[in-house]
Amino acid sequence: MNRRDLLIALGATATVGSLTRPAAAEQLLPLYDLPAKYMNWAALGAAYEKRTGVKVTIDLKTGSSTALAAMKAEVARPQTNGAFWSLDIAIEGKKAGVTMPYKPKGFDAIPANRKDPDGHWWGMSSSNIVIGANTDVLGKRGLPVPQAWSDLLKPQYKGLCGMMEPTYSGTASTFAYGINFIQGGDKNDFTPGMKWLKAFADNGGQYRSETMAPRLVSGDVGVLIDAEGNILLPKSEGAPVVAVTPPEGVVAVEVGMSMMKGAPDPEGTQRFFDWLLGDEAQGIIGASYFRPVRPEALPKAVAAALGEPQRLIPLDLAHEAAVVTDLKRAFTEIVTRDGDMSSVLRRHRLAS
Amino acid sequence: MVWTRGAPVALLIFMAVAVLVPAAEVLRVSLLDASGGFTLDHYQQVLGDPYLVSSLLATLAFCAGTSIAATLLALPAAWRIGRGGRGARYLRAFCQANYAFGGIAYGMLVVTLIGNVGLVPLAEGALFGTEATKGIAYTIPGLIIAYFGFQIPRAALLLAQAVEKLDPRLLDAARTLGARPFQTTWMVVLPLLRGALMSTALSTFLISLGSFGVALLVSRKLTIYAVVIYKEFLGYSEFGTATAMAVILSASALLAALAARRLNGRSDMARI
Repeated sequence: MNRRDLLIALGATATVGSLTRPAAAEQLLPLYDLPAKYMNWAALGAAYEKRTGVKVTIDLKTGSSTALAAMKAEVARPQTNGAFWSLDIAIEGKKAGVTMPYKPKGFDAIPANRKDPDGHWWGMSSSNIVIGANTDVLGKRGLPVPQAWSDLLKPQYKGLCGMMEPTYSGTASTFAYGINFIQGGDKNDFTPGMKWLKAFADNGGQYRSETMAPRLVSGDVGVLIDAEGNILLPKSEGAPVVAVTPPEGVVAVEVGMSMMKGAPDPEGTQRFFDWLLGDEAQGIIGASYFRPVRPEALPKAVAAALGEPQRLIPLDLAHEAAVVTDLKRAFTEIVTRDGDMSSVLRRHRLAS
Repeated sequence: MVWTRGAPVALLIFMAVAVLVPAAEVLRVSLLDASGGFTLDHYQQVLGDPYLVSSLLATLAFCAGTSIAATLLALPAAWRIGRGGRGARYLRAFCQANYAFGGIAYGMLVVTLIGNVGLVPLAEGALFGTEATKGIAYTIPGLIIAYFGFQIPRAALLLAQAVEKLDPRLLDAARTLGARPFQTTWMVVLPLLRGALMSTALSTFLISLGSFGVALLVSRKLTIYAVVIYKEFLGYSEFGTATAMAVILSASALLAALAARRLNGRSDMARI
């Protein structure tokens, strides 16, 4: 009696399973680090699905370094077709051997300093890293919107500021690299930048391991350092936030795509990458207040709202990629563990 | 029938594969260097770094302390659930619902309740106009509250099982002999529950060690070891270091379990 019941149950399960399979077989294109609230990937994913029926995996392994670690761990049996990430981490990815070359349609139009000559990575947009402020939160305390990087170190903003964690987020690690040059340091001495980052933490600034733009909108943090696009898009939708480009200088985070070596679905990925450099995708990126790599796709109204920064400091991507791991380590030791700044920086060859 | 006898064996094989195989892989990676050769460097580095060692000890101490406190705090709820009585069913359902939240989902819940713009600070601001509880999640008391949030309901359910098995005649006998409720609790109930209290505290301790979703989102002053492992793995791709730390954490947990068993002495159910 028992055995017969069991066999009937197994048969029923198999029948039901085979019936439901066609309905569940939507086209899925796994990619890492497509955060819904960063560069409006939610809209990009929806537009691509509407056009082709293929669904890309939004909010899977968010964080450039997180995506890289996952790809390194899976290199023997790739689970993803590629990743979206900041270009300094992309260079690390190529060095780690987890990428394969592909030059999408329109690759030639990308400036030489924003793409790998072989096609292992290519920039699709950039965004200046600026100060975002929630005017409701600041207004309740009678505080003015901060105007300069040095304002964030002042006691009146104690405990109100936040940004993402450089260990996971490519935007945050780019900022951790770039603030050094804003503060007057150079490639051989990262002390000024590290001093600023430590002072930020000492003033109650939080380094958080999550996408932070929604937290600024909800008022969880009063001041946020993030890509300007992530602040201006909610602002255009009515959120009580403003973006400020400090006159001391800003750096831009360059973001783009790479294909994973041994990707399970190379043709599908190539079609998606071609679409990302096309008019529709670049237009969505521009409408989301990011600066598309094809400048003609940026709507005039958005260009006017973005404006041009007083001082945009260009970053040497190759050097940034070479030092970013040491910089992250030094950051953890100095800011999180209260290590001695000069000896830590010297040990990581970031100062003499 | 054959199927019913084979089921426990099948389950054992499944658990062996599901637990031992990944554990063996973690151990294997922790002993490899960059080129694939055998090395003990990762263990040397992890055990030699004073920051990592102090983080491990702080994590063990924090989890042990909160687990013991949570177990004791769970006694009233466990008593009500185990003995039945008004609201016992809802209390049990509430504790069981707690299992639905795990890891990051629970961390998000904590932030939603007692973060910077959590429900509690917002209510406090609306009712009293003060800001005492704003961002409490990011302090050590807040972390303790967050851990209690998942420790107490689970401890309550575990203890309730032991409470159910308490012989009510012993309690009646104590009352007949003139013991006041406090004396009954102190001199009859707690000694009877001693084994259950120890094993519940131990289970809670082991669960707390592994849970890092809360710590990742909320812990600021205390460096929870599991979060450091996560950072090594996903922030730096240092698989050797991360797996070595994972092995050390598991070994510490096992040692703590053995020590607790030794302290407990005999079986789970103490006899008079």
